[in-house]
Amino acid sequence: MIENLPSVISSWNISGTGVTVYELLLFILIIVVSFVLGQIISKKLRKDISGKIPVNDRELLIKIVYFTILIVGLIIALPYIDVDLSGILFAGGIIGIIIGFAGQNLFSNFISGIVIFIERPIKIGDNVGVGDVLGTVEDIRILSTIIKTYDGIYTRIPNLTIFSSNITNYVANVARRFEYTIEIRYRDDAELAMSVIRGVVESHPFALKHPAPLVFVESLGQNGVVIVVKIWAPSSVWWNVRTELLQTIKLAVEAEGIEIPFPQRTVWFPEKNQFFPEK
Amino acid sequence: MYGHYSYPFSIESSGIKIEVTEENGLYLYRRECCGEVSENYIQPKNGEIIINPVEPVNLPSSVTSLLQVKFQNLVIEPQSVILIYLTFPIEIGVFLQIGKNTEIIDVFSVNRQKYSLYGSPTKGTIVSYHESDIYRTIPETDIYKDGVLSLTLINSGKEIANVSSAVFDGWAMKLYYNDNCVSMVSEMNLLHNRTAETAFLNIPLITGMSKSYEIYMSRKIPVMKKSFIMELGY
Repeated sequence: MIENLPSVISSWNISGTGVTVYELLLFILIIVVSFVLGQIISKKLRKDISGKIPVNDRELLIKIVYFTILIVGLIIALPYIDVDLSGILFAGGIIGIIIGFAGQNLFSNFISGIVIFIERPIKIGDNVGVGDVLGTVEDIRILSTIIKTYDGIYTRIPNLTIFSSNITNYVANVARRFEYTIEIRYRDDAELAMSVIRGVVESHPFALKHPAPLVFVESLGQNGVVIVVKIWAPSSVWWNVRTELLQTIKLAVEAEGIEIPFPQRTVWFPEKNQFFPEK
Repeated sequence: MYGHYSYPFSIESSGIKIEVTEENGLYLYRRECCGEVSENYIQPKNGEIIINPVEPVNLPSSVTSLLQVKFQNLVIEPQSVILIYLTFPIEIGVFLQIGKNTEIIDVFSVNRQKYSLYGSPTKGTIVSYHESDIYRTIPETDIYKDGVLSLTLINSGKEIANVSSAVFDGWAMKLYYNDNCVSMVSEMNLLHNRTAETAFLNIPLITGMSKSYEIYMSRKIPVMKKSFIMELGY
């Protein structure tokens, strides 16, 4: 009698239905396991991504994962209590198609956000250029990225746009190079000018010692000798260095009597010609 | 000039003038150095001013905590240890101490700072840069300009090593001073493939030197990293 108990219990029918007690217990077990699994994964996810993405996005992501687990559990469990899923799935399929069309962009942005989160081409605080937008990354969210332009304008860019655009990250490397083009008159001493420029660059603390700055005559221009100056600076302060050094270089070369030439033309008038006959 | 002062006070040495005067119930801290003036109002009455050398990685702004000291190329035979003395740039820190609380109120230097890149732009790191001669005995230096860095180079490998620079982490620096010298004692362990590990020893170079109050101490951040691994060559 006792050894036949499991088969007896499993054959007990709940009155008015074709569901046995055994099937009902399985249904409850699957639902409970789904709840527990959802809780465990949510907690693990919260712990792992805390501090990496904004709190709102983190909670949204956790909810999506949690309810996905519950729904999967429900879909697995429902057939045990004789609920026909074909009708639900058919209706769900149609709703899914509608939502799919309506939420295509939403989903693309979501996936792009995840890819950006994994690939990390940009970080909060980076100076970046995305398409025509130049500025500092203020926030990276699940669906969009917020950039504050250098004029202080709030710009929201969908993650799909970020994902499919050329991204220029100006501070991804610790140092970056910038250059000036300085023109001096032909009558000025180019060697002296370059020596003065080297002195100014070397005296600036953030014009890096290595890689060494380059100062050289690049070309003989229409109005003067063209000197190019290439300087490496820490990415975090390069703009300050760039704006400070040019003025200092100008003052230093002018102090040596070297001048920046104005555009000029030398016009020669022949003494005798057919257009200007001698009087 | 280095030491602890109860205010008001006024001191002047080697072109550096530091004074704290009473003004309308507050105290005015004023420092003049190299044509530059820095002023701070101090409210607490029973405080103390500490003036001493600090980690040379703060000026003109904190873009890195690393200091690279460059010197002439030194060839070191395998399985050997050599002690050399170098110099490092001095930065002077001024702290206000109230009971157990200490706060940095000024950092200045008579040196001109320079930065460099250790490694490549993609994989390297920004370092504060200083060039030094190699000395075999403790060099005489201006205690407001240059400190003495004792560096023990340990080549435990089986190959000859060419060393021309050492990179140190400012978080691990241990400074000591007396009336004639500011010092740090360090070690550089030459490892394989042109990597090395640098570390500081918390001991004075000369017996009787006073321990500096360092900036990381005022920040009350526990320093876990005691050494720096030079992975990009020496």
